[in-house]
Amino acid sequence: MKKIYFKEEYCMACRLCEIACLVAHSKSKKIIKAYKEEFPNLTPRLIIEQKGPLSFAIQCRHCEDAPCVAACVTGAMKRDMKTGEVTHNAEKCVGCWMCIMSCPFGVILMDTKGKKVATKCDLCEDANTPQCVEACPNEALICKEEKNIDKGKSK
Amino acid sequence: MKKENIVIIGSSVAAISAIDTIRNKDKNISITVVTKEKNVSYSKPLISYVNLTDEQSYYRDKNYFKKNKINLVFDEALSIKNNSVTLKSGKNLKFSKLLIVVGGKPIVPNNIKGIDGKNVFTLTNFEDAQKIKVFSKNKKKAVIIGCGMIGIKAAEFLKELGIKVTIVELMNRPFASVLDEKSGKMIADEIKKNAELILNKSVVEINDKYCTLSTGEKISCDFVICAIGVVPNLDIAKKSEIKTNRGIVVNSSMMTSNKNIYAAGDCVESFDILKKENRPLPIWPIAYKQGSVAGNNLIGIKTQYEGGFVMNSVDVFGLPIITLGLSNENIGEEIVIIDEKARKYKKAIVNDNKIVGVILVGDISRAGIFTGLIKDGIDVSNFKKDLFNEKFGYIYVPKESRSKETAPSEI
Ligand SMILES: Cc1cc2nc3c(=O)[nH]c(=O)nc-3n(C[C@H](O)[C@H](O)[C@H](O)COP(=O)(O)OP(=O)(O)OC[C@H]3O[C@@H](n4cnc5c(N)ncnc54)[C@H](O)[C@@H]3O)c2cc1C
Repeated sequence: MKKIYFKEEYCMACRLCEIACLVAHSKSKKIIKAYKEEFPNLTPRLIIEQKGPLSFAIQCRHCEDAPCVAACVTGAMKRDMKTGEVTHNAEKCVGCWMCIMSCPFGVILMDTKGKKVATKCDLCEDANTPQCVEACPNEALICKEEKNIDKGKSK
Repeated sequence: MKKENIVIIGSSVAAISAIDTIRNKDKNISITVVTKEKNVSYSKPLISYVNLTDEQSYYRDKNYFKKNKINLVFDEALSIKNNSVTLKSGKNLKFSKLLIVVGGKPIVPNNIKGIDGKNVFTLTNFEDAQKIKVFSKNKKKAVIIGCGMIGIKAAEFLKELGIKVTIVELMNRPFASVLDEKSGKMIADEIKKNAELILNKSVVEINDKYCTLSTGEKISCDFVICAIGVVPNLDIAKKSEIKTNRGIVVNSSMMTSNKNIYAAGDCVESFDILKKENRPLPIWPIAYKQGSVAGNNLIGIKTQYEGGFVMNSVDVFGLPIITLGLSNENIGEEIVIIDEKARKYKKAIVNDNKIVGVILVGDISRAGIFTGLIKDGIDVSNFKKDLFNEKFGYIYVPKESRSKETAPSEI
């Protein structure tokens, strides 16, 4: 499965990824329309973090042993055994925030604008590539096949 | 080789997690589930939700057990002898490996007069909730004994059903085991906007018109929900020479004192990584995790449960609260921010440079980062002052301590 990774040494905190994410998850998928008609009601699925000169954008890691899946009392959060993707079914979600409590990256967000539900990165299931990665002008976000990455050396 | 035949007692989350784990690796091994539940695969924490959609009322889909080729037996397991489970109906079920996932039992104090009355309920399973729904029709008032997690859920449940609620709590604040005085007071104030809350008192007698308190006061009510907590269900283990303490005793493979019998979830004693001792940790994520570990070991895949700690996410009439670990113990430096007007409170307890407890009221966003810091025992001395700063995030976690899920070495 392809996963999104950040490289903090390249991130400039330009926030283009956030805009792309919002638009990708809007109804119209058009930036002007999305901002004019839907904006305050859209929740981005990624978080841009900054500390001194460092920054990165982080979104759902689609963990192999996902704590959010273990914690979900509704069955809304599930791991697709075939693709490895962690999916969230907003229809099932009751907004109990067990996932918010469990995600060690803090990348599950609370969408409280309509019915209270959790929301998170879905790897842009409607598009070919994640739109945050497409939008990044400096390759600070990349999308790579997990199995091509040597996990052994990292922690 | 003799054919493996797995029997599971209980059909809730620990059972389902074990089944998921087993079926992911072995589609054919024989699995029998015995349950005294009529409705299988509903989710316990959702029993107090009144307006669930059909989709929300099943933890897994309706045909889950059938799809997973589970032989489902609707009966009650009584005891175990010589690799065989005796059922209430008189039947016996043979097994090669057994998993006990019978959960907890509500505590019902026997020193309250009238506690066995027809108008006294507990709220820990689907049937309880159904009974309360039926009984509460045409009724007006109820008393809830206990203001912990289930007490609050019961209060919200009854509010939805249009019942006026009085909660009676023995301690001086709600959730006394996990909230400190300050946050307890905030939550108490919040509860009082929605229900009557009586603290520092207990119920001594119940009849069909009122409850009598320790002070002699009478609280008029039509019925009572007893919500003072749960204890591990040890009924079967005790009758079957399986070692028990406060819960069923298991090792890190979730194996009981009998090598063919495993146990998991609310019925066992788990290793608390913060207290460094074994005790019941009756929460959903732990039942799920242990069910999965047991599932692997049942089919011979060696897996260990490393331990956990208590955590809770509760919504008190719209005000979200999360508590993690030893959130109400004076065991270290406290980092606190309060904004009473905005109904926000945050506290972290740092002991030996590690976070060991957290309370979040009002703003719970990104709470899991703290859970991760606690679980991994990460040294926070360099950034503890920033824990509740607006910009705090995963970026503060030192690179060498970050998860492999964020930074594979090659990129
Ligand atoms: C109202 C309520 C709200 C909750 N909310 C939360 C929450 O928000 N977050 C959280 O982390 N936890 C919550 N919990 C706790 C959580 O539900 C439990 O930790 C979890 O369900 C434990 O799962 P389990 O599989 O170990 O046992 P249980 O869910 O207790 O299931 C045990 C099963 O075994 C069956 N059984 C018992 N004895 C026998 C027998 N002799 N023969 C056959 N079958 C038997 C029972 O019928 C039951 O189906 C809540 C609990 C309640 C009651």
